[in-house]
Amino acid sequence: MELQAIAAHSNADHIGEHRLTNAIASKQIKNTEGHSKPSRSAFEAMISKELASFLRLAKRLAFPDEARAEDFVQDAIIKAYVGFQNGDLKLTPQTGAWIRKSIYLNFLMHRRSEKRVRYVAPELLESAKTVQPELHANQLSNDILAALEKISDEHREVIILIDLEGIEYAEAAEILSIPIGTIRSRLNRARWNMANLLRNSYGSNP
Amino acid sequence: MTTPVHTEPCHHVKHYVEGVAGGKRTRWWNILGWLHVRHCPKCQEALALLQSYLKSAADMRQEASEDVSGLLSRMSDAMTEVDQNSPSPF
Ligand SMILES: [Zn+2]
Repeated sequence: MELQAIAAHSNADHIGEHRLTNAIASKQIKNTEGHSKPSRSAFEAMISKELASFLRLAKRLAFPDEARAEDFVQDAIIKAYVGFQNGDLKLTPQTGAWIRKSIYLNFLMHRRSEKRVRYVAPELLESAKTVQPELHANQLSNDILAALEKISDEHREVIILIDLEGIEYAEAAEILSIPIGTIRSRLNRARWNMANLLRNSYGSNP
Repeated sequence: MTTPVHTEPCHHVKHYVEGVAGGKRTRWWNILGWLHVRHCPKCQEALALLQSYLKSAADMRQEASEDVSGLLSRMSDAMTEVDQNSPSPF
């Protein structure tokens, strides 16, 4: 299944409260004549195992808009489920990677539709700080999130995928649709930016 | 207005410093890099800064996972909706 094509198709549904429902309703499920449906329980088992990591990735991409992050995850999983039911998507060890890429594409389309240089509205960022002081127990993690807001989109994406989510370089290259060499050089530049932005958080050492 | 301080290692040992900070084992042919960093305060500071960043990012990865119970139940409802909208195979 061409993920970009599906994602582009579903972008039209990204409006209003019931966009997920509409997206499902508008999908034409191919008739699997002569075959029983694939097992939903197998799909659900895979999802429940990986859902926390999907949600964490989405929250970091959409930070601090947590409701939006859940939308990205739901949309990606339902697309995967429709593909699974169609027989277009098989449950393999790569299915999680497929969903992560779909989450990223949902985020990317949302960011483009926002037509803003900065993805996060300052007032939203401020309210997240005041409403959710417990976002991370570790102050350093909050400082990392704040530093992420100060670097470019390209740098933020590689930092989130590789440094904060632990995704392999090859999968990150696939998600971002860029060569692995670009991932490496971009990551190094991004890491120096992050390290320098966090200099004060590390106190006197260094 | 002061320009924010931005520390990076000397250009010719940048890859070496990035490798060391990332936990790569140094090899004998990197002895020149090792010797340079040993005597260069700027490179030492850059190395310590990058190591601190990488450690804090690794710590953040280990933090408690998300509570997904609410989302899981909404996903289940959405999957049921997909099932109801899909044609019967029979
Ligand atoms: Zn030096």
